Amino acid sequence: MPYSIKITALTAIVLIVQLSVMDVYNYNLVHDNLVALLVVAVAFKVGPVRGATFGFVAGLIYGLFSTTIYGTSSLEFVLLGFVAGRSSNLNIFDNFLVKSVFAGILTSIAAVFVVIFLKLLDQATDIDSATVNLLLVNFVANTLLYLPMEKLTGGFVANSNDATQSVL
Amino acid sequence: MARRKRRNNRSRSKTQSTIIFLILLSLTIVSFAYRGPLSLKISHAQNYARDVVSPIQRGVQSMVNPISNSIIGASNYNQIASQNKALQRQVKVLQKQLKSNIDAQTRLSEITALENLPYAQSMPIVVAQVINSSMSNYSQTIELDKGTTSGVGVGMSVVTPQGLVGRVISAGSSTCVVLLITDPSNTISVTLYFNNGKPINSSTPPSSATPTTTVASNGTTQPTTTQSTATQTSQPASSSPSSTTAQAAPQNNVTQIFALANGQSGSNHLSLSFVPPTANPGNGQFIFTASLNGGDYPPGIPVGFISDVTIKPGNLQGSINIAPFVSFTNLNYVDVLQWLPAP
Repeated sequence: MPYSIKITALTAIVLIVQLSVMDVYNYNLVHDNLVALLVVAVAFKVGPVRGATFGFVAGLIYGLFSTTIYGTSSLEFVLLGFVAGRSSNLNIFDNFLVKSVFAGILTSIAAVFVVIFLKLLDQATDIDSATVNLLLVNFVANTLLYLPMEKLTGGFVANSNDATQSVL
Repeated sequence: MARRKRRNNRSRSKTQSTIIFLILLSLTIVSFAYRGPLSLKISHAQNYARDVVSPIQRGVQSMVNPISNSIIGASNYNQIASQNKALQRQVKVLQKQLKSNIDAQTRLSEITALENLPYAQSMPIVVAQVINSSMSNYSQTIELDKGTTSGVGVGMSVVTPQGLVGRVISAGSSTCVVLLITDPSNTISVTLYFNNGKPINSSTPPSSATPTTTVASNGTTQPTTTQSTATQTSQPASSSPSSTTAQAAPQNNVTQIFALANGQSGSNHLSLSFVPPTANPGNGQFIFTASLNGGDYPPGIPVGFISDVTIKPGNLQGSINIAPFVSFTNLNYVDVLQWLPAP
């Protein structure tokens, strides 16, 4: 089966889980963003350009189900994919724990970036305790969930070359 | 070397241009979606996408809900336990409220019945509440919440719709003490009615002994009984006078005998004494207060019914027990009859 189909299937599954489970079960109305974690995991495999491209497409799809301004998720995931893909060659990420924590930090910063971006557009409230919750929830949940997410993407995306072809 | 450098530079610039392109594209989409001409179409597309995905969402949620509920239940065990305790407390409070409502209804019906005593219709009464149902271990007394300020005096009779309770033996300004008829020191003049020598089991005295009252100068009433031969008979007695079925009976040969009823220590029954040997009292026969002048109680008040008659051969007096109509264990409200015995 072509990798493009596999990764599309994976994205669809993650999206369904996000919309059905993560968006419903929240902590103080803040929920984790699994799609962002998927973008990070894929970008770690495929590098910055493909990671950003995948992030852009995933953001467009996720934006259809999000209540924020359409395109915001794309912007978030493009930056996320680029930074994650760019960092993938660093030696420190040979340690899996560091990689997980980095994924958690990256996704939580991305979430806060969206809050700031929306604030600039007068579409968000002040940066308050909800933003801190957003930061914490994304960091903790995505740090813990990175291992299974990478296993999933590893199963679909066998290596960098295949992944590049599949994303493009 | 120079070729590799050139290739790296080209790759880097390609990466940068791609990223910049994607960022600009995203910002363009944002600007179109945010107050732009496409905002409405994007909104429609979002609605359509949500409609498409919602059945899948619901299906997944129905699968996940039981699992997540059990996880949430386990993780919030303490909270759920405290909620459960709070709910149990609430249930107890509501049960108490319900109980008190039922209790209030019962009391209301009791008070309503006390207002319509069949044997004291023209007699002034004071409705009182029992505030202490067991004042002493050594005498059978109760305490009421009405005293002299309410018109209650020593010697007045205390009754319920079922029958005689006792008489007031001491009265303060706001409370009084009642000696129950079952106390051994209480002696009551009673009447038994017979028709052609057979015991009459009647809920009301056959001789129409309902006293016509006259108000004395001290504000209390004095009895004046009228004699009549009219009588009513009924089926064998039950435990309450109100539950008997009255029947019309021939108006002849109705006789009454007088006796004394005494409380028995350690028992809720009274014993009947001074019954003539010729009388033939039967089980279930109703006993009323006597219509003799100088009695401690107004005539015609149901006292109880004969529960046991034992006559040993050779004895002039049989052993006759009376079961009172009133249950003294759960008295709530009573009537104090403003009637005093003749001096």
